Amino acid sequence: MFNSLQRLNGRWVGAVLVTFVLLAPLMINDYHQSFLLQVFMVIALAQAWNLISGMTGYVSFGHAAFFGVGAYAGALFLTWGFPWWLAVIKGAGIAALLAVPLGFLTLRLRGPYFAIAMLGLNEVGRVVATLWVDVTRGGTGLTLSPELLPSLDVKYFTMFGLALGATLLVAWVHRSRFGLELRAIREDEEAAEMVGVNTTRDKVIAFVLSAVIPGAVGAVYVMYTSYINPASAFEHARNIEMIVVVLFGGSGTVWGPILGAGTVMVLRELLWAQFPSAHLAALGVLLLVVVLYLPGGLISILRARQQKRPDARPGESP
Amino acid sequence: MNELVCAPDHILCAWGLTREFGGVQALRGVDLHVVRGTITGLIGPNGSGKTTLFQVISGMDRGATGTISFDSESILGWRPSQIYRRGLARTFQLSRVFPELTVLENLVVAGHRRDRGASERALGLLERVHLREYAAVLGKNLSYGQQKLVEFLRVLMSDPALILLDEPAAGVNPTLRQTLWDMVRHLNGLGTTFLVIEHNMEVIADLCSDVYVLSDGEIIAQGDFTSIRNNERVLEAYFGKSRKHGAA
Amino acid sequence: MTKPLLSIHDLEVSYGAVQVLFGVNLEVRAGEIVSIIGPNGAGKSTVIKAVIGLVEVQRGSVEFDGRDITNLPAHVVPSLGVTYVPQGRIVFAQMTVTDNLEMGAFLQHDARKRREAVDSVFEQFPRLYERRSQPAGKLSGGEQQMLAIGRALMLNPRLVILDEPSLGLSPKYVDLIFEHLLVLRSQGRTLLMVEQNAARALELSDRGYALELGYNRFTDSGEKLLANDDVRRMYLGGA
Repeated sequence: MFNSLQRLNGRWVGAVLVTFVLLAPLMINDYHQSFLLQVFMVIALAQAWNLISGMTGYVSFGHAAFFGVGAYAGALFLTWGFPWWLAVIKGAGIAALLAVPLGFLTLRLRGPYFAIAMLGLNEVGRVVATLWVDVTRGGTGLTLSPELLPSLDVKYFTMFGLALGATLLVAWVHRSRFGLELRAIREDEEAAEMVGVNTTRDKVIAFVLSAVIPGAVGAVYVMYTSYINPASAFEHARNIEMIVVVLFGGSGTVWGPILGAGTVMVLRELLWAQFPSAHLAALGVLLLVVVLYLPGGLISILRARQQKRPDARPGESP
Repeated sequence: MNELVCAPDHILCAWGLTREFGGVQALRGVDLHVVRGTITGLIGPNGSGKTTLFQVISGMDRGATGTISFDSESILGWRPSQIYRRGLARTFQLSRVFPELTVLENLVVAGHRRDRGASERALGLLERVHLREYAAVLGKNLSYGQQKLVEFLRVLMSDPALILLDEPAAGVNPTLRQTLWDMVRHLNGLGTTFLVIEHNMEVIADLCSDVYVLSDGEIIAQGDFTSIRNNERVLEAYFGKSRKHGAA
Repeated sequence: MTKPLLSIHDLEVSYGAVQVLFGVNLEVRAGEIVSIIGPNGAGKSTVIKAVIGLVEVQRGSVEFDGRDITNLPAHVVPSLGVTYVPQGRIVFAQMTVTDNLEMGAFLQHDARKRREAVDSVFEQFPRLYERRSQPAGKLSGGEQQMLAIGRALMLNPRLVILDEPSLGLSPKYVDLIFEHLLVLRSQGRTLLMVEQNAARALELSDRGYALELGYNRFTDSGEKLLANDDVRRMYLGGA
């Protein structure tokens, strides 16, 4: 009943947004288009983080590592003559390939240890990028010549595609048996194992999926900025942003990261260019708000208005 | 250990199970056979190692040595999820219902992955214990007794051949307790084997055809409850051993 | 006849919806060692937790030295002269033995008296004195139990309540601990304990109470209970 009403609403809103996005390039200028591109980026990254941390409860403090890997890989493949879209795919692929062994290693750790291990991974990424000068040009960074780069419109739609894809992926996982298993893992990993959930396999799959997206996003991003260096590839603020966006919007949900992304992007517009530290501080404030008052994020305000749904089916609970 | 010692009608055979925790031997060479189709009891004073034994058999504790054979297959070293999928399930002493999942989700996640009818099966099970109206209620909003009942139903979802029950009725009110034991009897009638840890001796006497007594990590007696009850060694295990009088 | 030091009347206790004690009666006279024994689920620990104030009493009363102490907050009880040695040797693992003992005299503001109390515990437990600067976590199980008892002695209590003092201890340490309990009695203290090892506890005790499923079943002198076969059978539901 309410259940289908809500889905209908979601679909309508989604349809409206998608239409707007598709038509936007015709109506707005380049600056605003870039802004939207960055919104899509934040959404895509947030949904990826949502996939591992929101759904399984393994909170990662270093997912920007995969973004950085994808950015460098994408840039390099582009300079080696591959077409841009192949470079993006390869960027994502490298991130995924790394995620497999890393997942097996880090997912053995619980709670705070996992979070810190991921943080460490991000730092390792930065250090490798700085020291492997032959490939990455170290601190100087890589500059991409303009003729290699696709147009703004192409990047805009690609990033949108990634944001949409990531959101649909989260939506699908949410409703699926796989998502149910992930949530069980989040609730009580041992008990989940005891009722037949292969927790290792599920966690690693979620982890790899959550790495592929940032990998692709990073590759597209580097084509957008046409420049990458270790600091910007493995930027700390990006890690924090991913987390705050999801927590503030509503972790483990489909729309939460989108709401959160909108909020954070507005903040960015206002603060990042002039006062980058103020931007981080503002993120901190958002985090405090979530922890103290809104553990369920913005989404929980909307949910609170809903009645209990007596015929909810598995995979669809709030 | 050789599987020859394990008869075909033994659904579970454990031989020489030993588990040490930092110098303390929790299990010292435990030998135990559970006959297919029975309800077998496992009793013993506090700290005798009963729960440790369940941890080892169910795969949650992978640090033991010895042999465990389930349905003619050696399962020592298997992951718990593998053991569960093979047909050996286990419940916990303290309820471990998934708090933020609904009752229905709690059940469905424990069923077979490709089972399309999992929801129906789950609802059917809930119906049997009059909990169908609670299908959409979150685990944390159930009473403790209801949680334990749901936890019990959860392991039924995979249709296990052997279920290890760890004090299933602890903390449950008398009515629900009765429902639980009735279900155990019913399922046993349909062929499910049970190994039950219980402190309530009335239940053991009533339900179990065979009883093992564990004390200080060893099996000290086995048999039907009447013979156990009069066994000197068992009484001593529970009551303690007094030194000679006048030696204080 | 002298009034008992501790008396419990018709005690009823429930944990939420589950009732555990159904009207338990018990008394301990000054200078006695009294044990509470019984099978699992009898409510033994619940009785002493009710005395100490760790659980709420729904009905019935607890009187100590003529004063009604039913449902007094737990932190008030030690100042009345009743201390508690909990189950499982709860010690502050990172703190030294001496500091652990000092924690037992938390309510004693006079530093000199505290020092004296520590010294007297060390006198009674030379083993603890040897290990006085070691972190409590490094002590053996039996030594930790001595520490827990020592800590309970720091306020010079009249009544010491022990929850399963022999739990998890090797037979050698059980002997040692029980010897120390006799010393406590010779100091004029009164002891009430719950014990899993019924035989050893009854050997030591002047009187005992056997509980089953929240009810009094038997009460008698330690010796008589020890010799009573029905008490033994109670553990396996046979009495």
